[in-house]
Amino acid sequence: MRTIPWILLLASLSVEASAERPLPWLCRLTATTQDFDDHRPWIKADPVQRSGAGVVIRPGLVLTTASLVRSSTYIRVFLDEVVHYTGLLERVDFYTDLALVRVEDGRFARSTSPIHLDPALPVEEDTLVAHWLEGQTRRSDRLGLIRCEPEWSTFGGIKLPACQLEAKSSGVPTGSPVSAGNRILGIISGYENDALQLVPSRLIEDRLAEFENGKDRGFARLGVRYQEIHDPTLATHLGLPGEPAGVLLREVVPGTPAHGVLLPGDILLRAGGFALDSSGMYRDPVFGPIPFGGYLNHWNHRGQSFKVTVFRGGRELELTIPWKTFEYRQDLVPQHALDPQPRYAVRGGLVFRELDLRYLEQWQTWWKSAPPRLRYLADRSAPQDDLARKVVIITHILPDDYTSGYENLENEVIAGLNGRPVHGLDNILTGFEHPLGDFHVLELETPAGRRVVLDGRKYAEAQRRILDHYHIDQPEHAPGVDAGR
Amino acid sequence: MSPTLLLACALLLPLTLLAKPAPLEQSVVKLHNHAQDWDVYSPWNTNDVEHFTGSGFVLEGGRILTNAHVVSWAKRLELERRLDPRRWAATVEFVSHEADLAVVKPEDPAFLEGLKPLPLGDLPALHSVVTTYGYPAGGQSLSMTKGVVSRIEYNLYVHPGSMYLLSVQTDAAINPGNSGGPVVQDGKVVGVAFQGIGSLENVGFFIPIPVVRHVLEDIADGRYDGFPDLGLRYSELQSKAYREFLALPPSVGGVIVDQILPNSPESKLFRPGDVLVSLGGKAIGNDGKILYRGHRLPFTLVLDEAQLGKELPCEVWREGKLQRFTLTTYRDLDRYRKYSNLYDLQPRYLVYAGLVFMPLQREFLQLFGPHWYVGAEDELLHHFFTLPLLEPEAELREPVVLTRVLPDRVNARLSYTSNMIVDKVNGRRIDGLAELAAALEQQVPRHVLEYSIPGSIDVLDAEEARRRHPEILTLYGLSKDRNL
Repeated sequence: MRTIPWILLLASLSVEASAERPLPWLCRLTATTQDFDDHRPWIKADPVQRSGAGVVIRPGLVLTTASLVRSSTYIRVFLDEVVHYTGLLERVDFYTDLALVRVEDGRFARSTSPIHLDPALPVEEDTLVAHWLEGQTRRSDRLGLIRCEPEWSTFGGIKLPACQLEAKSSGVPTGSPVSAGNRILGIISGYENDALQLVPSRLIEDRLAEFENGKDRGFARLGVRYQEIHDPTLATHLGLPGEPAGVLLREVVPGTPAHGVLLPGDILLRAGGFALDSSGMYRDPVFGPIPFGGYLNHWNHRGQSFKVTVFRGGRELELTIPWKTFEYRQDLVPQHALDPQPRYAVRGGLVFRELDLRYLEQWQTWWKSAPPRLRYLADRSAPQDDLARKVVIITHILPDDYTSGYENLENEVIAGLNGRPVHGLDNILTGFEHPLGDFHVLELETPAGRRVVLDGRKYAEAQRRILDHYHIDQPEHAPGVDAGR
Repeated sequence: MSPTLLLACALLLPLTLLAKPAPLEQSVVKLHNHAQDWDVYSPWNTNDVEHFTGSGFVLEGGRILTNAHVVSWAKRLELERRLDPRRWAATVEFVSHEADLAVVKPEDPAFLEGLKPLPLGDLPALHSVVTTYGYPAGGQSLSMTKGVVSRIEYNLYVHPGSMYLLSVQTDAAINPGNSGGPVVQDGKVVGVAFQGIGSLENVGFFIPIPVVRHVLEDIADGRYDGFPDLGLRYSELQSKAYREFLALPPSVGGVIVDQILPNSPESKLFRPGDVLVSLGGKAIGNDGKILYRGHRLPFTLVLDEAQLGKELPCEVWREGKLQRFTLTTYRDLDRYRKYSNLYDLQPRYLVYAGLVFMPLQREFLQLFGPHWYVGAEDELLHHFFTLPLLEPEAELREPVVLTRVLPDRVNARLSYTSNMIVDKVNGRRIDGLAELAAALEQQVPRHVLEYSIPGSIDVLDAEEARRRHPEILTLYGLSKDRNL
């Protein structure tokens, strides 16, 4: 027992003594994270541990990825010793998959040196190296540049500037910084489609500046679905003179910046003054040839309106697309929810929930195994002016006398309750306050006409009994639509 | 093996061969099917010929009863008697793919010499012992396995893939090759062995006599008509609250009608919200079941037992009172073909200027693999499963899919090349393959194809398409551009 204080002291001395370590900005993070149970959203699922890398960007402030530390209950930050520092989650940005972790222990700041991020994009000639700590060992792996261009972000539905890097293995952890010589060009956010995804330093610096000055410009989703025009016969049919160019707008999604400006059937010829080819690519001064869909969130134009040229009714028109920030919560079926707890309600033994991508992700390879109707609704989702408007489903039934006869219902979309349409969880909450005579009558979406009927007179008693029987302390999580931004 | 045992076997084998077989065993025959089906992906091509065997037994009238899946796609069908090396050519006289049954006739009546027709019995009792006869894979001789009737219930018939009919579960081994063999009790056939469950050991299923008799009665007039359909979608009414909401007296059972299929006889009789209380004189429970020979089974069994065109009395609870109708049974063959596995028919298709079109049917969707019902593309599944539930009239339409493109200079730059549902051609709505064929024969400068995904479009130069069409057929080896 007497030796313990000496061991602690030695460890502490070791941390203090390592300020001159190589890569003094590199650290390892281990996050204990805990999500809500998607099937029973009133309880938390088992905690899990995730590991990754981080870089010190300010004294005591570590940059890592949102995917590593989201829903964390405890974060350990390691340098290259066994002892760890406690990290506090300061900021999570799901749009860019970035997160900031604060280490308050002064020894951490003294043992590290913040890094300088270089805003240049990787180029082919660069020798790119990813760095991370594996236990107490520093690892550095050489990477190859595949391309840099606006890509779909890790978390749902917007295009952001990113780079794809080739790695010898997929073992580079999330949050690992990538350097070219002594320049840090970004951090790895994940591994997708056989390539490492790099969040470029320029985007990181922009976001850090916005966090620090409190002026978040956000990101936008243009809101058009289009098809390419390679076929001269199609171009002729559309009345387009000359060689095929531009893209044919199939749909303009309500609630997006394009809505009210662009029309289905328009041919988008130029965006921000750049000519679009028949694949919808333009030659960007920073990225080279890239799809026009990422134009809005390019760091050169983010937050600004921009001009487009369309071919409509046989002539070219110049129009202005206003800037409109997109938030995940606007989507009818959100691709990402900022609130860690799903919006749900248990009423009379029926478990209701607003459909979001997180729910579908319970199915492995959900895009080909989750219920097709729910997938279809997620795929056709569009931003809504009314933020409360969502798809409500019954996920399952809690068996009881009260729900007898409906035990097998699951993943059914709700069309109406007590004679009123259901467009969000709030309609469920208020609907159960207004029974139809002596009954609660739920209309299911398919087949049209199918109903679930509950006894309104016994509802209150059944609600109490079922919540008690199934140990449900929280019968709903339905904060106002402005909560959890 | 010990020398003594070897000697015993050597003695027993000739004795077995010499022994006169019991008539029942002699009437169980082996079938050889040299089958050739079509390549659904390239529906103008056939697949390789395959050989497989099954079992069957002699019926009255010099016919052999077996499973439909034993004789499906037969190019050459042969019969083999027990302990006889000769093979006898046979033809399929009738086939019920719904009930997985087929009636086969030997081309030479001499095949039947000495074979006695097996008498048909009835539905066996639960826990009674049955014997399955047949020629399962792994041996040449007749196999007999005893088992107990463990369940009598409604089951999915895997062969059509869409039919639930009465079936009997037994623990007698039913293996590939057993298919079509008789299941016997007290010297009478009580069923036809037909399917097992891969994941369960010692579980086999046979087609019980009521289903067999339905098919035999059906074909008595020389034509197979099939099993009646129900033109309703309904829910069970086990919820006490739902029954109270409908003000149903406790004595009244039944199921509630949610949706009525257009063009069905039911559409002239029923309204959504009706409670179907009885059918064919059988009271329907609020679980949707009827009492049937001591078992509770789905009420649609009443339809399964009726022939087409039969009038069935039915009782409906509507507006607080019981009303009586007569329902004439019918069959919706288009709907059956849409949702079922198809056999003995070339897949329907149309090729125009290298664009391959097929109807959106289960047959096509199965190209997406064994889990096609979730694994196929969302847009296809939406049109196949969801739309008919949202709008019953959609059931009357036949969505047509551009399944793929055989590349050629006339189509090489199209925007869409696979799995697109054709909504309109030249402004005309397409609700079937024949309509599409007619639309593409229009004399227009350009064929404009609009797909179901909003705003998606492709355009073909009609003149060049007409010119290239025969050359594309030759290039890709298609003798016919269509099977509508």
